Amino acid sequence: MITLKSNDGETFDIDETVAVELQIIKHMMEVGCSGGEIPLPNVAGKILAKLIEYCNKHVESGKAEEQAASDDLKAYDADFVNVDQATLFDIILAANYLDIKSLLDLTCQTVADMVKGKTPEEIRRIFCIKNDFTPEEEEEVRRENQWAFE
Amino acid sequence: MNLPEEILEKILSRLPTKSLLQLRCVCKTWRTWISHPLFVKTHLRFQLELPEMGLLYPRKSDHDLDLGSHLGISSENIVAILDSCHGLLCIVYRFHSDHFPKPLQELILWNPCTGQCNHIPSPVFVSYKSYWFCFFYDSDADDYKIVRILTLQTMDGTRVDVFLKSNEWRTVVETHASVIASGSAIHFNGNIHCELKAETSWLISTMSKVVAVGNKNNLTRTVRNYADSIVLHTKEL
Repeated sequence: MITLKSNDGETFDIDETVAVELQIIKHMMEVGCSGGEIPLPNVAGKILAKLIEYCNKHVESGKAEEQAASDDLKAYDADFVNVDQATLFDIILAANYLDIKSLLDLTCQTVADMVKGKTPEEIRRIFCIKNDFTPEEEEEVRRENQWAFE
Repeated sequence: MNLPEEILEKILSRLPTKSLLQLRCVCKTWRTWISHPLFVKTHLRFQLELPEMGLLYPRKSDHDLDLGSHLGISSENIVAILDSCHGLLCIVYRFHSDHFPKPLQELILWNPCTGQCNHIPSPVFVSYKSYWFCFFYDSDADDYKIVRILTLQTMDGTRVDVFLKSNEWRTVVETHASVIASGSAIHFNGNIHCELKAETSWLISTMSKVVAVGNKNNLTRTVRNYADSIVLHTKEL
């Protein structure tokens, strides 16, 4: 059993087979410094709980080999990312920090799908970006890549 | 909420080029970033690994495509789409010059996604019986290369020229022996494979990463060895 502690003091006990999904923990286990509680200063309890739930589900699914398990996992994943944007971004940051590749791929793909088809203004809102183009400059950039807007 | 650059890169790499070009309008940082050669490479690497890839197949009748208007030249001067690599096309077209009685052939590299065109200066005109070009990516040199292979008019010789980053053509093979079977060169994974002629059977050899002149490259060695052996053989007759 490995114990993880979030930045707001919540602790989570997880099985070693699940802990290795988090590459950062896996490395710690390999070099033998995973005794006691492992503090994760970059992850809140609420998000860590979700990540552990994701890893548990994937490890469990990995053991079953039927197609039904794979379809079930896809449905689970689709549901997992069906959260508000702030939570999604928190999950991405945590997955990146803890190095959970499949979750990072899933969440990045979700954001990419969200971005596709949105106008630049909507993108700025999503990522809190300030538009530093003057109207003329923006028009010029649009003209450079005219066909992409057709 | 700001995501760090490394994560934005992972997200943007998943987008099709068309979407990325629209995103250049978001802000100045994104505009620089999306066009940056490092990001372009990351994006390409990611896209190449995707299971679904489109295949651009030049149809016999190019009337529907109107390539000319994309390239800024008259469609009737376009000879052929020679080769493609990583979504870039290498196209040859006829170029009329006052200095030559016959039209020259010029090359254009075209990126259909971004619309960019690079005109490649003509290689030296040499009388040939047949020619073909290969356009490929050399990962060691981290550069795209264009190779022209000619079967010469005189004595059926062979000549191979490479277009380099320094914007010039360099001859890497020139021999009087006719060693490469016409039209047989293809590129695959950074190497050029071509059929070598032999008297009774044919061999396939690789011209790996045709680079600078000298005996360093395998084709030069192979062709010269083969050419030497033909000359030796004919002397014995």
